[in-house]
Amino acid sequence: MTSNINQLCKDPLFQINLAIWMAQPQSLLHFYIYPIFYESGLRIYSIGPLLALPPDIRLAVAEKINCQEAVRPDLILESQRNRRLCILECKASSFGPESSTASQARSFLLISSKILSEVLGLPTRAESEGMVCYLIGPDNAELMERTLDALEKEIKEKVNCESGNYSCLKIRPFESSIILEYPEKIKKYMNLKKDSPIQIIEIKKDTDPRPLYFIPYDPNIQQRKEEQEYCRRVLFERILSYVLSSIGGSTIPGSITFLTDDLLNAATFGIFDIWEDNEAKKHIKRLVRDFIENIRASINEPLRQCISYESQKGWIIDLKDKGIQDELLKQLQKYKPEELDLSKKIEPTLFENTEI
Amino acid sequence: MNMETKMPDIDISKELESIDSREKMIRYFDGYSAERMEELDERKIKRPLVKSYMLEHVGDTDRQKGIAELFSSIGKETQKIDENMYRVLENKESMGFLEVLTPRYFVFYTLHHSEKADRWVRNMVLSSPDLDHVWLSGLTFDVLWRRVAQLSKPHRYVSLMFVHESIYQIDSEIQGNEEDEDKEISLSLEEGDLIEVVERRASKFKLVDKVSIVSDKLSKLQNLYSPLYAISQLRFPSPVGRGGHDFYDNGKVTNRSGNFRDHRSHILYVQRIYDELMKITEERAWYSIYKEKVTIPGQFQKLIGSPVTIKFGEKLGEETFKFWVKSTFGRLNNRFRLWGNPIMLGPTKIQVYGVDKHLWKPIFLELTDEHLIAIVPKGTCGNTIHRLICNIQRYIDPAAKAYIGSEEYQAIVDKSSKGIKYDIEH
Repeated sequence: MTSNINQLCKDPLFQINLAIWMAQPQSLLHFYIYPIFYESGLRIYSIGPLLALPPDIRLAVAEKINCQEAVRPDLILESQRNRRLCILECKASSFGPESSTASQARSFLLISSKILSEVLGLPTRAESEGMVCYLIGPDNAELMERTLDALEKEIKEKVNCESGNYSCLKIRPFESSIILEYPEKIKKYMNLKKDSPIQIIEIKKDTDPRPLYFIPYDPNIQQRKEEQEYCRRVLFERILSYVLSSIGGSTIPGSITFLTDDLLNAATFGIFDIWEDNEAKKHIKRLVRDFIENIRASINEPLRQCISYESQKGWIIDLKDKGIQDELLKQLQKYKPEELDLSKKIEPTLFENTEI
Repeated sequence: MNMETKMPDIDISKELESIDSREKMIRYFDGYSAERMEELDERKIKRPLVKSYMLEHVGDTDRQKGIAELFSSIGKETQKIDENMYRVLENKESMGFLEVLTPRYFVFYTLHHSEKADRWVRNMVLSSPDLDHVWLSGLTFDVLWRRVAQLSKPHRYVSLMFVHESIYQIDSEIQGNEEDEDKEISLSLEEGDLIEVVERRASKFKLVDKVSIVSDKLSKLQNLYSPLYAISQLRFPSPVGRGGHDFYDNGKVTNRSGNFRDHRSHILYVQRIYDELMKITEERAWYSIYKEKVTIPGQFQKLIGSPVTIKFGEKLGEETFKFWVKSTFGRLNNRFRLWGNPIMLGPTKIQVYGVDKHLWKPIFLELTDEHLIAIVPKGTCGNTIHRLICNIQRYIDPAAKAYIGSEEYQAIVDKSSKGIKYDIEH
């Protein structure tokens, strides 16, 4: 259980899961996390889309300002009513105009201007309006706003390009709740139905406010040890549930084959596929292979022999008869990922690139 | 009173063996039902009543199996009578007839004694991850009852059974055993006289009265006493004579009328409502990433789905909550048929990224003393949700309210039942 809710509010994975929950259809009488985005007609347009700057903008900014040619915001929310789009990016902390993160922010600002519809693949420019919103933890909003002001000014002065709207959403603990705060310009732009601040989660005594995570893990995000262990546990539990479901639902006799990628996609609602950082992907695949090795090692002999790994195929579970299936299910149901060292560093192996 | 238990042993299997066409089967069951009705009137039942069991196969067309394959995988033999009708045998004994209503829904008709037929169907469902009962929760029955009130004349008699047992209340902690899993929740399966000293909320009673009176009083009574929300059995009065059709929460339907075709029509009516309900449930609740290709390289990922929320009317005590969690996730066999390693987030909050062990599909849950939240990944049968609601009403809180996304579950059931035609064959 997390001891510091202030720190939790700075965890980008907590922030993105919270943002997804705020956009989920829930009853306003019995909500889990206040669905302010859903209530205000905002829906998830896309999770982690890759957005590239159009060629004319790339030419205009080349060697004049430091920005990325393509960016991947955490979330895009879309207003059902007026095609307004909100590019949401979760950040652990604010950053200055000189920081490396600022190059990503410049691209967000450029993309959220009138070119957004084109960037999203919509027919004409100026069809959609955009706004960049940084979702950040406590005590950072003012610095963040100042940075964005400076970046907008820089874009205008150095390349004479337009920036889209921008602002910050802030989450922080307040009394026995976590509240969401936003300035009037966000409320107006996103047509939010409530005035800031709003209570989004109630914090119960001695209780961790984390909701069920849609996205359990992101290797690109820097997390504190405590948050990382929690997320790794959730990822492992989800992989184990997928393995158990596959074994329990299989036809006997038969065999099941899993690629590590399949397991990761099943555990992340397919988000694994869109991660681009190959090093990060390799890291998480190593993590999952190590996890499955651990599971395999926990199975008693001779049953262990029915689980094997072939570099070109992945994990193969051979279910010759009902007895094997039942015993395997029994042993796997007793397996506890919480007993693993959840902060263990995983080293590369010689054969990690061979799985198809 | 269980009149069937005093009946002489008649070789039902032999009689069923001679039936080789749908027409003969319908005629035989029709005549048989009329005879039983006469006996019921005289309160001298000589042979078991007709019983039907609504069953659900997997919805995923890729995983759907043919009848012969599906039943042979659990050791049952099937003989084709026509395109959609099969005789089902166990060790050469005819158990009854299986009608395929759709590739997903079947109904099994039998003349065997309740005890034998209930056990047989229950074991069949328990041994197959591809078969489940059709689960009718108290919330679903509440809507079906409103249809009964609309369909029936005010002077007709309706019967409702209410069952709620707060088994997780700690006062009289009764340690369950490994056989718990086999005790499925329907009262239809618990005919014996169970005598125990209970010091926790336990309600089981039957209400039989005129439709007009129940219409007037039921909601008032439910407001006064919450176990009355836990409707576990409902009788649809027969429009073609006395008696009616008793629907139980696990999809069992007992024919207490003199007409089998009418009995079947009622099953078809409820099955169509259920099918519609299932479609809406799965359409809304299934979480997945929808990949939308756009003109730039790559794909856009939309997360689609809705959380299922079950909100308890009364907050659970901390001890009750803990006992519920321990009984469910601390045992391989448990009443909810769930597996998961609880992540403890507080004295009355846990999260489980687990498995519905009946269908072997993933389900993500948060349990607190105030609610249960479920995220259902695409492919997990909507039946899981209906079974969960049945179990919550039965064992945790009869007055629990359920939502799929922002819409109340009962409103969805109501919507599902409105477009369904009620065609009685007579």
